[in-house]
Amino acid sequence: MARKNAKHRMVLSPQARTELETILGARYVTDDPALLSGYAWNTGVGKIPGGDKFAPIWPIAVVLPATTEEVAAVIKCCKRHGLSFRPHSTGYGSMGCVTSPDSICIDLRRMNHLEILPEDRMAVIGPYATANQLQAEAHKHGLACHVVGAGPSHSPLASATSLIGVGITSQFTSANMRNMLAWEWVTPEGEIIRGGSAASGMGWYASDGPGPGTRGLLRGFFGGGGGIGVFTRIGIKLFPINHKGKMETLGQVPQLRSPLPPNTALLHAIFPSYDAQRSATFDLLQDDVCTVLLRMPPNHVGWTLTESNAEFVRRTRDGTLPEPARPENSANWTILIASRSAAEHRWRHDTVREIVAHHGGRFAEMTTEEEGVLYHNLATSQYVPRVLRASGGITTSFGVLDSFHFLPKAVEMGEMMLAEDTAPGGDLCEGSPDEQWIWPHEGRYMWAENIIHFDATNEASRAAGARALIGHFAAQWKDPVGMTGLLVGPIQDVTGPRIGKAPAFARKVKTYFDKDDRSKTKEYVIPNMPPVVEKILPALRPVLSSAPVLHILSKLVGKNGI
Amino acid sequence: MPGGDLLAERLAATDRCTRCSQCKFVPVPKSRAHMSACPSIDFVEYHAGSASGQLIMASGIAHGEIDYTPELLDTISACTMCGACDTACKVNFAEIVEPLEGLYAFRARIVADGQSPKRHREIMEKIGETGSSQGVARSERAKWATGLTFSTRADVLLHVGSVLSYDASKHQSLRTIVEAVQQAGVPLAYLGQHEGSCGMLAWDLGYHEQARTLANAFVRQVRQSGAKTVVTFSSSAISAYRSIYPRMDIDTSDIRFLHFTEYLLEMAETGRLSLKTASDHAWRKVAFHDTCKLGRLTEPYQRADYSLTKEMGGIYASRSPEALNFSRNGIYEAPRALLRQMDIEVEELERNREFSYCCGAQGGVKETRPAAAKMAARNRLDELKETESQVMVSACGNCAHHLDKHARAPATVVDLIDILAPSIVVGAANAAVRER
Repeated sequence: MARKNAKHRMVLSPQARTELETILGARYVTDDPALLSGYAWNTGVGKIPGGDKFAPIWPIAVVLPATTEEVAAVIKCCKRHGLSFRPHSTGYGSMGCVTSPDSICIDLRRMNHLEILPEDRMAVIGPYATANQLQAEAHKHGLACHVVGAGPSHSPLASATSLIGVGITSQFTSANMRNMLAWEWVTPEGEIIRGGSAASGMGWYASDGPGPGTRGLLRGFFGGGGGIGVFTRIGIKLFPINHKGKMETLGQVPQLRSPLPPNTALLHAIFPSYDAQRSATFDLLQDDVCTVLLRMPPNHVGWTLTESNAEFVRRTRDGTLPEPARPENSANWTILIASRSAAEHRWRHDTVREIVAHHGGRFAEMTTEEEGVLYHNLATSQYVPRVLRASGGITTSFGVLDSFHFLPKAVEMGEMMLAEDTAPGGDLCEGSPDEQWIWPHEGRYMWAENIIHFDATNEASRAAGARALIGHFAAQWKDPVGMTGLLVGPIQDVTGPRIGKAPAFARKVKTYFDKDDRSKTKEYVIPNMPPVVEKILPALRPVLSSAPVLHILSKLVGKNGI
Repeated sequence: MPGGDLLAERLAATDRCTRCSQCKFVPVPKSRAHMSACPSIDFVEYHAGSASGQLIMASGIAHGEIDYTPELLDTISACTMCGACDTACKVNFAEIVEPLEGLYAFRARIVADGQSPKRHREIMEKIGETGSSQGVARSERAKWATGLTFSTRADVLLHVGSVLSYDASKHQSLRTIVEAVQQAGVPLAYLGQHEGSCGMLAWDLGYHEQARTLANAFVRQVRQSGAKTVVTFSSSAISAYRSIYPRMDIDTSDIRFLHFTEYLLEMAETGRLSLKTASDHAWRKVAFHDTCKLGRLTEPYQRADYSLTKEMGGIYASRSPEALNFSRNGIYEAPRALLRQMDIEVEELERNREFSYCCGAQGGVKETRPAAAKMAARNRLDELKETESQVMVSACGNCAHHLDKHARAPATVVDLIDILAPSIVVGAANAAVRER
């Protein structure tokens, strides 16, 4: 049987293979198509596959280095042989696949260093230290890590170096674009550079210090997207929590739950309107009484509180879902209060209740089991992968990163983009009118991200997913809802002046360090772009956001994937 | 092509894998050291070694994206089919992927395509010739029972299984327990050298037709013996009876299948047997290793319509959600209860019950990829370091033998039957024992 796309795939030259095997050992170099297939699966958060799940471009080889020095040697080997490369940590979602046919995939699985430095409230981690491992070890010291919206098995290093880094506990764990401390980096030329305090030999506690403070240069706000070499180790912030030790788990698969630690409460506030929710939010943040604030659309709460899709569908239809999961309760906050003493807890608890009541809100009735399930999923970030349970296909919106003044408008925008296709008979999975996940960062700005559920096996549904995805950008260009959060890849250039000269600056960094563009990605800036093209791209916004072009683009994506 | 049909049936579910990597990890790890759920990915290291990676390869074969390669066959040979991936996946994905069903289908497709690895073929030849994957002559199978008397027909049929039948070091314990059951007034039937493979390993290796033949032959033997209850010492067999035979549409609703730990517990609870303090052993605290086959893979499989319907515009919902396997109803409690009755404290390993880590002995890995099996055993034994106990107990002869082979002092591995045998007492020995 001939492989369908074999003729489009490049092969590893014998010379390059020999060199790679010399660097790593033959066991850790493969160009076997069967073993490569796992690195060509076009899926996960943010992805829209084509007719089958395989990406059109496969890596020509996968290598498994164990040390920073081996990574550097692999990159130099790529350079000698005119090959590109793509770092790969856990491989979940948007940056899992290579984007050029001459790319080697550098799977960093063997680089799973994890060291907790409790007195410095930080950890030093490698690319394959996953969030669930880091969280488990941090908890032993009364600390917690920030977990981004990619579930517990993602790489915090990848998040901190390469893509924004927002996550549902951001009210107290900030976001990973601000959580990266010192770093170790292999440049696209294969040089090993340590930055921040790590460069001084004084530890890993700061992004600035005796060494060069270049965090902003290397990752900026959006992250390098795997397009600027390989990060092999970082210092990352941890945050104190009100209990120490292993997380207790009760219940049975899949409805695992955890009892709330002492001086902890999980409340689900429901407001009469988004305006009321917004007003309450300002007061809640002003008084700094909430450890976590999270708004999930009710149907997503329902997926967590039911053990299977069948149960979710049945209980949606017969109206027996718990109160937080009912569609009429869409203006809501799940609130976690974690205090250090009974007195503090009383004060925070009473203050939250008073603020919610003052703004016309109330609290949903929940059983202890439901409360335990929600707490468990919040603390472990299992919420996020569970969102994929409905159909196995999701992508997401532009993300709003701005003041909570924009909360009602963000929801309205979410509804505008989804309501038609998520209504019965539409091309997307049925759901809430909007599917915005919303939370605050550090008591200040709002993150809102509209989740788009499509049926990956259905071309019309994939096209509708693409239409909503691209449509979000087009809508933002026409009528901005605050600052756009997920401006990855060329979208930055098209968006243009609204985000200042960030893309041009990032391009200078990319071009300086990687003039041959060996560190290949679609999620970073387009390298080596002539200034005239840079100027023209923003002018294309009206064309790209016109109905006919949107229609054609979404059809193309639905057919071929992105 | 029966195997091909099965993979075709599972292909939509396989293609729904989101490559989230959750199948590689226990759902809520307690430490970095023991966060892995999957011995296969720990050995292979490329993504292909995980359940997700195998499903992707299966999809690649089915969609014509890849061909069979030696590396593919080596990779799947390192998977013990322990089902930890299935449990981990279902925490988030419930019915929409069901990795273990995909792995069963992929193995069947490999066999149907004539691509079964050479070592797997050799195992199947041995099973065909001798009724055992070890290839030991049938005449050796019942040697452990020399001098014991069994009924031709009885309500209870004893099934010993291949591992214990040929492990001479366990024969004294096995005899002691069987004799105690008989002395307690239970006539036992036993197939002796006519006892064959339960079909579990054949199923795991993808030889579903052969597994069905073996299963049907055994069920016929049970019916011929007049037994209404089968008591087995084999964790593979109890898994096959409860979880695999229903998949093969073999109706065993008239037969009650019990693992010996369940049966002994039942006898102890009704006063026909009792267990005295296990005073022969210096240790009073042990860590218990949940065998995959005895635990999560013994959850009964219900005959039901497992297909999905597309609801609400693209939400994939099970037609029989009550039949979904979440590994909740395996045999977890009986061996622990027996240990407690012998005044032995059971200390839980970090990965326990449905989240247990496979020791590497199952699925043909021990025979096919010994290095992978050894790594799995060493990984499992490392968990003892986190406990106060230095003794790991298993209720599975296969696991106990394999773990023991790779244990390094001070770690010790003990087969549960070796603790039970010196403690077993016919009748309710004394009230205190019963109350415990």
